[in-house]
Amino acid sequence: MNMNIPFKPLALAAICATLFAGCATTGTSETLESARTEVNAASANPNVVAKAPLELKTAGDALAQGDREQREHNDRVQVDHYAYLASTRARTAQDFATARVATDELGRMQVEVDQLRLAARTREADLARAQAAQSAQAANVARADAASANRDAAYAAQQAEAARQMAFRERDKALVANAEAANAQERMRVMQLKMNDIEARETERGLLVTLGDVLFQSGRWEMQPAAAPRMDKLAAFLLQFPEKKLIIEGYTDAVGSGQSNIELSQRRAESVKAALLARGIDSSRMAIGAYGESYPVASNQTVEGRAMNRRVEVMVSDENGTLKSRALTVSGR
Amino acid sequence: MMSRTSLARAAAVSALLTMAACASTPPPTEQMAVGRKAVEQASGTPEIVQLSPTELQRARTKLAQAEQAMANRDYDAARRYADEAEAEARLADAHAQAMKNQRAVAEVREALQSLRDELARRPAA
Repeated sequence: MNMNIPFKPLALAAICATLFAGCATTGTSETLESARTEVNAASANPNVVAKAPLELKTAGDALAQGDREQREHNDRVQVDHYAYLASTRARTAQDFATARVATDELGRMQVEVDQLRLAARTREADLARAQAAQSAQAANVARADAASANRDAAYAAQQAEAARQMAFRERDKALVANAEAANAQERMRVMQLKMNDIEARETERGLLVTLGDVLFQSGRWEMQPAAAPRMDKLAAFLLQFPEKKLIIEGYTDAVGSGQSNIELSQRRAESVKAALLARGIDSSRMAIGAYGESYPVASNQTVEGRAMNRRVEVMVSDENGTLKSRALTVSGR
Repeated sequence: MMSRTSLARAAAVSALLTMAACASTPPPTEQMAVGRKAVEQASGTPEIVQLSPTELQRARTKLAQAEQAMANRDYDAARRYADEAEAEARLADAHAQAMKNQRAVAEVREALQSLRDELARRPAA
């Protein structure tokens, strides 16, 4: 604008007065007041103050500029311009504050999301751990089963071992029995030898040892000294086979009465018993039989025959310990 | 208190200065550059195009008015429109950011809630 006004003081003063009057006029601007409302609202919002202070300041600056334009120049276009800027910047401040608050909120939620995910993972880990523990327990059970099976197997092995041991024992027993049998055979053989030694012989009544001939003189019952070796052998035999029992039977020749011969035969048997007692044979093993002149073993018509009938026979029990006595008088002890 | 003459002289000087200012308004090159740049950036941001169509349209209109004023050598108007175009472009940006972030908050809040629900549903080991 080129002003071509003549420089006259009055005219100048009038122009200035007009200008200043325009400045001084405090007419209200709708746009400016509307902008003020928006700027004030933004200023009252703590989020805007905190999160968009720069934008808020530019809005306030524009508002202040608008006020100044109105106050100093009353230029409606300029006032509207600054009101427009103030409103727009106030809204911009509001929106930025909203955006930044939302960003903060996103950050907070992200933290919570992370925590929840961590919790979920922890829980999954716990679940996995629980499952692992369960598996371990199952494994323990399986191990226990295996151990039980092992124990069973061990028991079976033990049983088998016991059976084997028993078989061994049975075999040993059989061996022992065999040995015993062999031993018994050996003993039998030895006994046979001894029996030969004591001039015993098997009869239908059992093992018979005849102590005769030279042992007794006619009418006498004392044993001759020559009988001692045979008594020793008999006693040794009996000591070796302690299960054997005896019946000592006395006999006579046919000289003299039958009754006196019974008594004589009794005394002869008793003297043999006494001789065996003297050699350590227990009396409970020995019984006495007195048969007088019965059961002669030779003819009483000859001297030799009568000498053979004057005798004592010793019946020895068999393997079962049984003795067969003669049907005639058998007195105990 | 000034004397009448001194007051008149001061007024005259002031008026002269005011007129001189009016007469010598330079082209608002810088404001135009800033306004163009702001509108250009906003237009090139898909979120702003999508979420702040109204604000963006106003910014473009203001910029067009500024260009028109420049063509008319009405530099005062050009500066005003350029400043307003820039302010509208910034508002479009802020508005788009606010919308975008609020939507994100809503989505995350929903996801968070379903995560909480899921955790609550699954019994602890």
